[in-house]
Amino acid sequence: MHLDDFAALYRKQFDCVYRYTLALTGNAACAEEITQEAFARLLRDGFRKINIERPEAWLMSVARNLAVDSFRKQGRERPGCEEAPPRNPEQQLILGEMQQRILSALSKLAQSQRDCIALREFGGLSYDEIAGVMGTSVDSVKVQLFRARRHLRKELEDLT
Amino acid sequence: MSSDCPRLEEVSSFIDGELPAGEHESMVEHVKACEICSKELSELKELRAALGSVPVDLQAKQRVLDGFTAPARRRLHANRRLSIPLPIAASFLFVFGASLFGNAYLGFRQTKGTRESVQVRLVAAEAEQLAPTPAKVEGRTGQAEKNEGRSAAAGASTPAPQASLIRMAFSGSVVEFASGTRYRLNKVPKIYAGGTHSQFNKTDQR
Repeated sequence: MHLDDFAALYRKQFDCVYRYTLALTGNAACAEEITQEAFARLLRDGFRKINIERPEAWLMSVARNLAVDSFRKQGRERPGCEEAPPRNPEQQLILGEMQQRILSALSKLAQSQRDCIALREFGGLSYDEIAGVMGTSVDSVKVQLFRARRHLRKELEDLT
Repeated sequence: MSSDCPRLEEVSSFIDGELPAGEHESMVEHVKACEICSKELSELKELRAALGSVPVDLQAKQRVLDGFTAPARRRLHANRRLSIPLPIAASFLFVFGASLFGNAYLGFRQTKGTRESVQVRLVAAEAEQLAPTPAKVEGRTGQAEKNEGRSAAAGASTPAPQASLIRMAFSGSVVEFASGTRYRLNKVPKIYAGGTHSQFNKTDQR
């Protein structure tokens, strides 16, 4: 991977990876840490001339694996990254009440549903790519997305 | 929530544009006629808008970028989570820095005595001439233009280079000159009235 390609990909995909990991973990510090590591691995593997056909999906897959590793290490479903204290009032405002409610609603979903909806809505992946990342079928992705959306709408009824 | 329509579940795939072409066209017509699916589609759009409001912490974006650029060397030692080889991190800063500052080239621009660069400029020709005395190697930042006057006042200015190497140089970097000699650089901050200016000196020959 050429460095120019990496820089372009970073600008294009940072938001997707960050928001996806934020949705998975519900924790801004974790999201930041995982996002950084995912891009670091892309950079490293790119320099090792490892062929990455779909870097967008590859990044999501790496981010997902990192989150799962983090879950395992902590012995719980959600990763236990150390919660960084709010750095300033602006940061506190970033995640307003509505966003907190969305993250809370996402946290109530089954893990596979949360994965699917986050990969779709935040990662922008196609069903085929989501199935590849999750190691499941496209039909299963369709079902998980339908259920996830139904649950989220119920949870966020007054918002939508 | 009513679920009387047999095509209700397809609305989710429809909004994602994941229905096969024929079914997509058919769903477009169906949604127009079916109140249940029309309502479903409308609510899914609202949900999508709500999810789209989850923001990105721009400070986090900058911190992650910082992890690849200037503090990379420090983080490599202080925090093993970031396992990027230094040359890669340095190269990334080289490209990303250039793009951030609108420099679509990897060289060093010098016009009318002003200099813009986020890279470190190594004046190879001078270094070769002056060896074995310390090579003159300057560290430059985006504020180089501002510092130019200060540097000149402090007697640190050098003639415009006829030949130069453009490299990322961190303290401890090893640079190789055209003659094949290699030097390890140590960063020596120099303080001038009104500001600081980093200078890289050759400290040993390898």
